[in-house]
Amino acid sequence: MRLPVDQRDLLSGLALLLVGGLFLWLAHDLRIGSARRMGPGYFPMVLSYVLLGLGGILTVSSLRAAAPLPSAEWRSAIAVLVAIAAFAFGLAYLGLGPAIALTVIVSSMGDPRSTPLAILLLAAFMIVMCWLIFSVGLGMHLPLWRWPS
Amino acid sequence: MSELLANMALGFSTALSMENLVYCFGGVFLGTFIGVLPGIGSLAAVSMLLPLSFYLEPVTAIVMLAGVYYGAEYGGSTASILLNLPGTPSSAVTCLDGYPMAQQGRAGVALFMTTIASFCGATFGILMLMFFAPILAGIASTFQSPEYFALMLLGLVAAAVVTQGSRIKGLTMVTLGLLLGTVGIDTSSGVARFTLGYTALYDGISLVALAMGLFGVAEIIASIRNSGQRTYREKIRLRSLLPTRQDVRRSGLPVLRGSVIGSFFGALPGAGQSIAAFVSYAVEKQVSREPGRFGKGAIEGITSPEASNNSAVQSAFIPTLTLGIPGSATMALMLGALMIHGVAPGPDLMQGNPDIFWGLIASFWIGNLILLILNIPMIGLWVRLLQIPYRLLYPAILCLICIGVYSINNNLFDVGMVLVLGAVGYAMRLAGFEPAPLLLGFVLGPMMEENFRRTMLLARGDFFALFQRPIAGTILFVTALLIAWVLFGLFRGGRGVPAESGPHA
Repeated sequence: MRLPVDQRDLLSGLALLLVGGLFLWLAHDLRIGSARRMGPGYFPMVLSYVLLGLGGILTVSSLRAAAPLPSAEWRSAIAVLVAIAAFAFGLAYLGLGPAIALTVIVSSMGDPRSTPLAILLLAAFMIVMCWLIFSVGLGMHLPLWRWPS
Repeated sequence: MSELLANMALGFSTALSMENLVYCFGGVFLGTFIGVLPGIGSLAAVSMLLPLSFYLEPVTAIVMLAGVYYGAEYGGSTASILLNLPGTPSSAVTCLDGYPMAQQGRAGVALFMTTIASFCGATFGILMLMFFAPILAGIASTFQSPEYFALMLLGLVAAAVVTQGSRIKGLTMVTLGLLLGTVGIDTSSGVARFTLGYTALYDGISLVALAMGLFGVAEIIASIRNSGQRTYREKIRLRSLLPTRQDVRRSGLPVLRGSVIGSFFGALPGAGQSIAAFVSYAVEKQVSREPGRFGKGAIEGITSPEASNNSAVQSAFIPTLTLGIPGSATMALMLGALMIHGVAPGPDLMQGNPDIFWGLIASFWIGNLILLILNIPMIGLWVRLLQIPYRLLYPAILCLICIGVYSINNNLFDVGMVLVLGAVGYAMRLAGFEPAPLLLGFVLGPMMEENFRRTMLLARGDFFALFQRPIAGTILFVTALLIAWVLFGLFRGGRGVPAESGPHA
């Protein structure tokens, strides 16, 4: 899109309008009450309106100057976010050891300079370290190996 | 005076317990360690170690977290000097003259002098804390809900306005933070708000998950690509750590000025260490007889900001402990940590729990002394740390984040929250939104709502009656001026300074 607007701010402004509207909608069944006797919905309602207002201002001001969208680093983002999901999966079904290994391996994919050997060594190192710090040191109950449960 | 001595005696007797000493040391060491690593600021450091503190007594927990905080501020200058990359946002100024000094082969001197300057600044800040906190607590005990509400509002608006980047975006972040703070069961009515049916959300969004996601994960994602710059490749010749007499002479007054400026800005809501450091640098350049030396390795250019930001760290505790109002995102985390431990900061803290208050202050003395003694021989270790490639560090950090967050409630939901918030945090960065005001709003949200509710009850629904109260009225007026300034600046054509994609707190 080659519109003469600040694309970044336009999208942000619209997103804020969406979020504000979302909160308003989610709060529709909360009792609002009056200024004097506020219900649970009062404060969120006020805040949602402020957010809508600010989002509107941002959207309008984005129409004044042109700027392109910034580029996202997709590889880094996907590697890190999937790694967190992998951790959750690993911890739920496989145990702490595999969870750490998965996290290290998946997140390392984010940097193309990582070598397989370094990744494996790092994973092993982290498993030992975390076991020492969390299980031994802090006495947390995190089974290293849980599958099959 | 004798009362002060008695209080300090109480403080030291609390702080010098074995447990508190060990955790003070641990906090300071870990804090410096994390602060040295570029990109992970003191905020991320404190939030990473927050889950650890849950296992500890309240005093010990805050002693440790505070140690992490000022340790990180100490460590932050190392990467600034060696790599031209700040370890913490407030160390960004140290790059300006620190890196040229390193390039001239004077890295050792720079590192040494910043350690000394940091200690001096911290000492000054602690003195300010010791003298002013009781006075402020005395004034604050006359405060009621309207005053608290007004102060919190001012703090939030100030934080939004003073932030780097567009001010409108800052205000948006504060508002969003406040909104996110309402998620969970409302304590006054017992009604669940915005929980979408998840029981895990009944207590609200986890503070650590929010901090780690918005700051830690987002920072990691943004840093992976330029990680090549984060590794220090040269061998540092540290034999010449000692400064010349000229260096010391040149640094004396700047350190003093920096300390004063730092203690002022640190105590202001919304300001914080970064502003303090920038202002100190600007002041030094202004008053210097040879301003041309700045940017080329002038020793005052690093000693003053470093004294300033460490002083600011200590004085930031003044409003947090005496009023219960955090001036920065990191202070908000400290406040959150205190509340989780069941300690309510505010004027009552000094009266009701003097051992906690004075024990903390005594631990600041001890901690800063440990830092001074620790850091001089350890400079070599920190430098070697910077030689580890980032691609090995960040998966490790990510593991620690995941385990740390999970350990709070043993609930994978929190890990899921980190994922979502990490994605949101990264998107926010790209869009030029600063996450720090959001965190402030989030922590203050419930308290603000409570005070707002009580205020409106007192005022019988008439908001403008607030302006008739002297203190609350003045504060609200100043807040209104700030908001007007933001909106006015908008219509004048500028949208505030565009956000830069630099490191975030």
